Amino acid sequence: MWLMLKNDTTSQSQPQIDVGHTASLANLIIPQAMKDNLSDQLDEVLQMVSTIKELETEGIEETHHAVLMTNVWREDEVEVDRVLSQDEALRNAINTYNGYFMVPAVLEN
Amino acid sequence: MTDDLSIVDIRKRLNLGETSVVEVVSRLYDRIDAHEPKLSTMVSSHSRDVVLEKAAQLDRKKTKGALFGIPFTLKESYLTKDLPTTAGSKVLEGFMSPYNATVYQKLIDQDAILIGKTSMDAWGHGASSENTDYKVVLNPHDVTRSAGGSSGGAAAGVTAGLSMFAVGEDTGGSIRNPASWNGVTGLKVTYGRVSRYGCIAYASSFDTVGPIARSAADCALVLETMAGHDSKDATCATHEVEPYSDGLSQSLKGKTIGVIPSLLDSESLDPSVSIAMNDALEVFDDMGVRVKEVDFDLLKYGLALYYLIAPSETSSNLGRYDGVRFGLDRSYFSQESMRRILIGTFALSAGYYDAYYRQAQKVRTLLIDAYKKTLDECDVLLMPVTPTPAPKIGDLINDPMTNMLADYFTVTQNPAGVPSLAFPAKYTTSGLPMGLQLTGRLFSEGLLLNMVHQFQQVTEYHKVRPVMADN
Repeated sequence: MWLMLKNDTTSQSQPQIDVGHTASLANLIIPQAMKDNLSDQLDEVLQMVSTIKELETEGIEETHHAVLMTNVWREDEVEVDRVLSQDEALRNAINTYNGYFMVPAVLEN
Repeated sequence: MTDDLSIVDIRKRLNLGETSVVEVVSRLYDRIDAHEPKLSTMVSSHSRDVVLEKAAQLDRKKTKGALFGIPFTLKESYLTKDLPTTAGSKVLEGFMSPYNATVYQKLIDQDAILIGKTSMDAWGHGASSENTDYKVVLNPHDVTRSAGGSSGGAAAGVTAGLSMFAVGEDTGGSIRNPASWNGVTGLKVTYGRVSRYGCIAYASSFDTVGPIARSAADCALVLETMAGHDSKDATCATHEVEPYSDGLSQSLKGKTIGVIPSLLDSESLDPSVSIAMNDALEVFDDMGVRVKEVDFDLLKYGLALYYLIAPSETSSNLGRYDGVRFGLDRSYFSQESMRRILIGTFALSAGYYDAYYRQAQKVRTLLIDAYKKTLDECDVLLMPVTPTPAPKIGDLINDPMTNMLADYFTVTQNPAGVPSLAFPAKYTTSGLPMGLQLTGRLFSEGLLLNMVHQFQQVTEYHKVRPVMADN
């Protein structure tokens, strides 16, 4: 099985993952002690996964699901046996108030 | 004595009245009491009294379900109303689900009995079950070694006789790897063959729900109950469920096994792998199966493809764990899980999406085509499951790259959606099990189970039980 490889991958330099920026996108707070170690490990992983760029994929469509299904509908009816009571829905939350989930403040004022 | 019987045999004995569910469960709990404190296969479990009461109720039942009286475990990633579900992570410590996973409901509707929830790598992130915030499960064949992952507790429990079967979950080898390292049979099904409703998601387009048991025959019986369409899972296949048990004894004459010579070239492959492959091919040859060498060059990009798409999907799936509606906050993720979330977030982020995530999804199309072409040349592919037997505890978790490389042979089946059945095929000179896997076309579980069942009729590897000291 022949693989089409791109002609020029050597000139592509590998980016470095900005751990701080990526962590903020992921809503993660990384302890400083972990940051340096993580940075090296992520670079190593990135080097390995970057080999994917060697393959020629011009004109190839992406696949997001291998076993294709389209337009899987259900009836617009309430499935009573799947409805959670308010108590069931709130039961696992640490912070609730008067039947509401408490969320961290988004706005400072 | 019911200790060493298969599910098939126990069902027969129960139907004939030669044993009772109470007796089966009692003997199981004797083994749990003797070995579980050392092995730590389960994060939570029902007490002996609770299960015996259930067993007594079943013994009084007039109509019996397909898995009547059979004790089983569920990986910690399956939601259950009666036991906590943690996905191996402190983030979900004590979480009690308000509903049951479909696979769990189907099994108990057929009178199987849940014993407990098994230990795993948190969120499915790992190949050794050491990435856990709970006790690390030990390999019953050698307690200084890993039980594999991420369904390590599931497979270890089955080999140690602490359950008759387990439900694992496979995203990139998480059923097949521990099946191989524990000497049991584990099936990664076709994507969508079994409902994922109530399964905590790792990578939603890769995740599969599957059985781990002592034999292909036992897996077939369990799969008949687990498989089938579920309207609550929009990715669940409508493909008809075959009577897998009925097809186990079909002759294999004329079938073709494909082997990929380049896979066995690496220096990092343990010699036991090649020996296992050659010996297995001889067994199949004696049954009239033809062997054909095939090329599959794209397999060498499998790790890169998997470690781009899976972390990307997990970074999205794990976004819901913010400590608001359930669980603790995101600071409780382990370093390995944070690593995967970061890789995935990076691959999806502006400026990098096209070069990494989109490129990986295009390569996925190439991989699906490659599997189709290769499986046109043969009925199934025979491949190793892992490059080595089970490593020592600590070897994988302390080295992220080695951790990833352990997945080399198991990461391409999930992106392509194809099924693969891991089965014990060799024991090393030091007594460690080594598995192989048969990979087939979409919805070819029947053929895979048929072929491994025939292999298990003329070999004894699946019958080997670990020698375990009592506590």
